[in-house]
Amino acid sequence: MSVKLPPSWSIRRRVLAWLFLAMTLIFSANLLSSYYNNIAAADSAFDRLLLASASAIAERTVVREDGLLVDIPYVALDMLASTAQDRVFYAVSAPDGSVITGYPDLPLPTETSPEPIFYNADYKQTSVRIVAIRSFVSGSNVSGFAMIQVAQTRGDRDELSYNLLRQSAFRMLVIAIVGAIAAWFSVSIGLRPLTRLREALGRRSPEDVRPVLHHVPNEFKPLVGAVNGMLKRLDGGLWSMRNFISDASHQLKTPLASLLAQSEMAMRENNLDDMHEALIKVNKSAKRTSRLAQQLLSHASATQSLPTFTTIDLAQLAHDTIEVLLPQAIAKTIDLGYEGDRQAAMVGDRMMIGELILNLADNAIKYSPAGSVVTIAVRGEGNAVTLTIEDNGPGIAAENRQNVFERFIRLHDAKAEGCGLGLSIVLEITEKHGATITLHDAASGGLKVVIIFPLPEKEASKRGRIT
Amino acid sequence: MTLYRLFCAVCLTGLFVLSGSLPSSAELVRFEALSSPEQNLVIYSSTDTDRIVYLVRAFQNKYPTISIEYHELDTTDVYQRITGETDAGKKTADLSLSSAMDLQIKLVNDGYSAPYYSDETETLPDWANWRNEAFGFTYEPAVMIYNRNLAPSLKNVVSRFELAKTLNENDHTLNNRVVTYDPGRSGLGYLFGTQDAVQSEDFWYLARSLGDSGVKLMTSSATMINMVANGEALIAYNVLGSYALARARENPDLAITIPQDYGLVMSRIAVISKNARNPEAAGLFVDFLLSREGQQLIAGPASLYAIRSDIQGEATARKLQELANGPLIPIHLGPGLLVYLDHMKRQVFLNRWQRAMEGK
Repeated sequence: MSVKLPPSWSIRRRVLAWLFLAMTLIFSANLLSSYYNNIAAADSAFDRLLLASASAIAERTVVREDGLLVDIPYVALDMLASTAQDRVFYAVSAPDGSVITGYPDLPLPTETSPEPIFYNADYKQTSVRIVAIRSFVSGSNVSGFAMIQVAQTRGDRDELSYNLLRQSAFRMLVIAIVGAIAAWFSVSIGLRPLTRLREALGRRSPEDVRPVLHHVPNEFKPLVGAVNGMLKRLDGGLWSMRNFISDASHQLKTPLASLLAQSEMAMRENNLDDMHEALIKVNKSAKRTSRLAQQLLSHASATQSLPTFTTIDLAQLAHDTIEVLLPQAIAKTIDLGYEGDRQAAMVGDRMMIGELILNLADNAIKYSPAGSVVTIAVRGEGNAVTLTIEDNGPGIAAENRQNVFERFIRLHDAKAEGCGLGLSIVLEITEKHGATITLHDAASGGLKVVIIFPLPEKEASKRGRIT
Repeated sequence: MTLYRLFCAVCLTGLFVLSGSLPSSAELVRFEALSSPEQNLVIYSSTDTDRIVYLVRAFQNKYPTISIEYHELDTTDVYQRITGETDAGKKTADLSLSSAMDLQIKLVNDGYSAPYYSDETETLPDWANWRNEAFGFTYEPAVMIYNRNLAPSLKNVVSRFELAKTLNENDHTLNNRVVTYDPGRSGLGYLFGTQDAVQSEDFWYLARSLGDSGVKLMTSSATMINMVANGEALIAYNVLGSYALARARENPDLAITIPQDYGLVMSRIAVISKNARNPEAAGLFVDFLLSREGQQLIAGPASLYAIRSDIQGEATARKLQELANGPLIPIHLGPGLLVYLDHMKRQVFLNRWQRAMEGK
């Protein structure tokens, strides 16, 4: 049983529609059964009267010298005078079956029994209820069972069963109306907590992202839970955005101030060579500041934006990154290479994963001395795809490994060009993909970064759909 | 009114009476319509034509296009012609008017009638309307009528018990000078007798007293009243009140007594036939019989006693209730009336009556 409701139907309409459907079914069944019960009830009530009439006639059916004599008492038929004014028929038959008085063509019962037999038949173009009883008569010339039949048209019975039916239909109608009214108001009452919630949320300021603590009916707890989860993520986003802004402004202040100072110094130089030298410094500072700003933006987009999951080839992305970084590696005489699977399908955000590989490889190149080897590897293993980036640079001491993911942490300070955002971006991206990132000592002594994307096909496709 | 034309034709028909073979005559009167196009209404009736004429005349004034074929028949003939013609698949009278309440009920019970509803039928008391197929339109008491000139002391006979007592004591006076219906030969007499028997077992005491006194048994109220008027009898028991009243108006010697123990009241019954040609006209006639206008005529010139309680006049249920010193018991329409039509029951009753007549 399925009902297609227009999507815009209100809960009240839906509840009433289902209620109506259920009640219609129940009521039809109930009416049908009470129809038959009522007929039985009416029959049993009026059958007793019919039997009393037949018994009264039987009592006055006697044997006389000239045969059977029936002296029908006046009350026998008068008692059947009823409100519906039913027509009355009767017949008395002798033991030999001949009808001695009454209506000779009254339909006979189909069975014989010492007990009274009640049956329905059609007589004189109308349906009648008949009782047939047997009465023992005995005399000099006649001996055996006489049969007395009394019949009545069904007017009274039909009227009674119709009245009973009308009463039960009326009762059910009352139940239906009360039920509908109750449903109407219970929907209002049931949804009242939601109304309060709506009002409370409506009053909130745009910045107010505290979780909703209202008491709601059980049915709405998952909804409120989902809203709270969303608010929490929103809050986290807002918080990290604020943090980031304060950090970023702090981080940009210093290089901008030094850029300003350097440019002022350059302006004050009279000697062209000195000015040139100062400008080179200015240029270097500007580059660094530009890189910092770029990374800040990249970090911001990695942390703030929602990933768009599609099926991507991690091996292909690794190759693309190598192609981008190859000039830089050659310039530093670093051997940048790839090993592993030719193809490694996974589900993820193409831009973000690209950024991740770029950051890690860039770091490896940056922090490794000239002549080093940097290897990017991608391998599909069971339900996971593993990305490994290995170098033979200085590595990271075990006690510092926790810190490197913090923003603006630089272990190899002044000399390098990094600004400390790279690994923090990497961490954000891995978290968004549900991947794990671990740092190890490479066999060659350098750093080995291992990222495991635990994305089997089914999981991956599910996630992809949810987002 | 003056356009009214009466054609009278008397025709004999072969008849059969329940009680035996008594020759009776049937009279056909045709009341032509006052204007055309006309439609015909056929009535089988046990009511005298000279009584019904007032009603027919007024009815035709109201419905000038209806012509009426009025068959005045014995009550048994009314019953047998309707059942016979219907059973033969023919059309029969549109309407029957009969004082044989039991036979009219049997017509309805056995399916020879058609129901009819109207505002007028709604006004009838329950006992006078059965299944909306049988309608009582008069309220006629069974009365005693005596000759107050010849037997002034009979004014003390105010009940059945008094009558029985008087019969037993004064056998010199009333011997062979009391008259009543012969239940064996008269349908109405049988109805009154059986209803008396239903009311009280004392009826048989009265019957034995009548038998002892050499009661004369007659078949019509008119004959009995004539006998009382000319002194052939001094008192008549169970005379139709409507006839008695009409005669008592003309003859001051005649006095009417409604028995104090109870006054039996019969009602003429109108039944519309199932095989009617013109049931609409029959319905109109029933409505007219029950209407104020019709009932006023019944209370007045027709002298049949109006059943409606809102009619003023001498021959009305209302006046009767004022005059009676005891209860008035109308014979109720219903299946009880079928009992005494049972041929065995009839035989049982008549046997007992016969024994009573022999003083046993």
